[in-house]
Amino acid sequence: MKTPLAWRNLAHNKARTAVAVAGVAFAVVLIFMQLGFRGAVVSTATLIYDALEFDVLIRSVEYLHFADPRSFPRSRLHVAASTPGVAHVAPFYAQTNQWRNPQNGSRRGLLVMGVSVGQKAFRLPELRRQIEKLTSPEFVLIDRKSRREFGPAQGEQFSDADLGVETNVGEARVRVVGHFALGAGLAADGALVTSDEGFVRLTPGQSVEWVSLGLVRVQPGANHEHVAREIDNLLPVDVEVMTRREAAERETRHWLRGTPIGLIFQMGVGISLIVGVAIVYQVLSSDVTAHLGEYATLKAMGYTDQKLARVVISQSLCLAILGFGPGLLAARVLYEVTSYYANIPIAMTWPRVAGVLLMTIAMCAASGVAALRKVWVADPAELF
Amino acid sequence: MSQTVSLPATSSRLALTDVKTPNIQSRGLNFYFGDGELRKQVLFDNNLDVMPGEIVIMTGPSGSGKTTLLTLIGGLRTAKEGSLKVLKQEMVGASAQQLVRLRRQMGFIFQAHNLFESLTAFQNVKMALELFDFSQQEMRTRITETLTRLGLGHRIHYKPDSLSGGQRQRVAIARGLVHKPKLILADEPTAALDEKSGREVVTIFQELAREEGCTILIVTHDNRILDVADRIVNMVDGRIKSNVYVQESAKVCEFLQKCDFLRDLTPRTLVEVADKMFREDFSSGDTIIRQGDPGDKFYLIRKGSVEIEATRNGETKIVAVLGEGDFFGEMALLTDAPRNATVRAKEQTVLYALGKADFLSVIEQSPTFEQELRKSIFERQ
Repeated sequence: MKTPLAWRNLAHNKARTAVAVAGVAFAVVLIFMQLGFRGAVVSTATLIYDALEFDVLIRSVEYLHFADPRSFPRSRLHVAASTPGVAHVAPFYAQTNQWRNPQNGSRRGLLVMGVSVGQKAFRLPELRRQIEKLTSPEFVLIDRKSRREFGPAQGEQFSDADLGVETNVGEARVRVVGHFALGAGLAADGALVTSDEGFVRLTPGQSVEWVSLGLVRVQPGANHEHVAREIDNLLPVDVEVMTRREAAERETRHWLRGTPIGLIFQMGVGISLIVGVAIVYQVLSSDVTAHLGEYATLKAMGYTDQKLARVVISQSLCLAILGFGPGLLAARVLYEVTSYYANIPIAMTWPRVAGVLLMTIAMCAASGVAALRKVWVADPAELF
Repeated sequence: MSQTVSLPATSSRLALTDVKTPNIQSRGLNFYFGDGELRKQVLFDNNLDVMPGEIVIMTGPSGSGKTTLLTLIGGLRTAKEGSLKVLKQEMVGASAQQLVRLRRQMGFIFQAHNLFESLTAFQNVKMALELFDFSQQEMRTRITETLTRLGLGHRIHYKPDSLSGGQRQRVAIARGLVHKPKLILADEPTAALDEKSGREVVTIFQELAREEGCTILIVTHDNRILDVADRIVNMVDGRIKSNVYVQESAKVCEFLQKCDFLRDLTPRTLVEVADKMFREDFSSGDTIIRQGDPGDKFYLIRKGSVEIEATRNGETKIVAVLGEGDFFGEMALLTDAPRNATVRAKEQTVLYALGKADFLSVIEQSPTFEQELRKSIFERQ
């Protein structure tokens, strides 16, 4: 067995190593948080789509994002319904509106969704049951995952205690008749579901003949893409038709590319990596400088630059592994905390863990390579 | 027939034929620092032969180039002009890989111990063995043996910070010796040691030189260890000012002292005279000097014998036969007259010759010299 010089050096200078490990852990936490936020954007972007029951989506060409979908004539849905392979088409209405906090009267924007009561627009069984309660246009269901600023009776989140509470959405009076768990994501802090008539009532200038989305179910065994193309061919250019996967992809892309959010988090990852490289380089290069005479002696003895490179690189990889563990642990805790307080889902996924581990290793290796130059210029002739 | 040898007579052990190849052989070695306008020559025409088993002490003021020569021999700098063969490898124009490979056959001992603080004595020494394919068992045996030999048997698993300065230096020496190198380059190896440890270290050097045929080059100012040197090389201003194989020098001085006219010279002057002599080899029957030729050298017979043949009044006869330790040729130099006899080698003969100018300058140093010489000539006739 070779003498584990890299490891010995780290173990010997514990203070220096602790600084490096803390630096790596810090960078790891930063990277995880940035990726977590970015991941939250991705998962919340499609959160509502994931909850909706459809195979093919019809939407206006002016569609921006879920909370601002624009609208198109309901008659387009009749055409779609008659397309071969289509089993069912349901209209869906969505728009942001102002909710008045029943506790203190403050106003806050939330997402209002309207569904035809008889049709299964949502996948969630809880929501489906609740929708049956929407027997009157002023009845609404409130999302329990709405922020507490919307004024739940018990302070934290909406519950049975809020049933029967009356407040205003826009100018109209509404009554809470049920609640459900969804989470509206980035576009809105809260969400409510009402009937199509209720939606029109809350949205001045709206009519049930102008829908936000068309939710198409295809017949079992039918090819979704094929059906989507068929519908698209039949409909005028004021709407676009896409499969479920495409809709989700485009929604994600909108948030990551169409807004600065994605860029901000990507920059965040990049800057975290640079911070990590700077810290690890600083520690490694001062370690190498402190041992320059020793390294030069090894060179004189016949150690090649490659062999010495292996020592420094192993040292940097040790730091990567040592720093990654605590970083992962801290990030895990911060994910929980952030999820709880920001009400956005941030989950630690295995691909992300693997990705950050690779980034950490690359970061430390890069620092190691930078520190190596010092070893390479170490001239054993200077030792005499 | 005379053979051209540019090396001084006392620069090597007397051998009639080259039995061994030198571990170090430099010829016309020049070295420069810097480039272009700033190019500064630091080594001038260095010629040096060091045989296996020799211990060489290099001395000279700082800036004399001895360290530069050491780094060239150690393959730590690349020689560019002249010729330098180390362990049979030509260093001039050698590739970096060749130099690295060669360095593995050498042991380096630096003034600073340069031990890894994080490694134990054992592990530090092991770093030197890990460049080779030794088994774990063999490594352990060698390391333990070497450290024990250096009096560190009880400190094998200590880290440098719990060792004394002398002990650390001995660990560094163990690291330089453990792979049994053919050539050891040491820079002030005893500077950090007390007299006893220093003595132990040079004793190990002597054992290595004797038993393993190892060549050891030591740069030192420690005159306590001068006695281990087989050869003392003195450098001044980038030139090898003197390169003396100590035993041979002693032998030559012993011979020179037998000359009546040199008897009164101090040992120091005798050594200087010896240093200025050059070796010339002759085979049986070779004519060394011819009667009538102008005199240019003074000769000492180091090995073999010569006959002196004089032609006087048209009659040629052998007037004398001289052997080891005898000298001839001084008369023509002193009287500025042509050679008065012919000298011929009777067998394989090695002569040490002193040039006329050097010879005359020696005479000037000795007030009694000329007188002695004349007396000696007179007595001979």
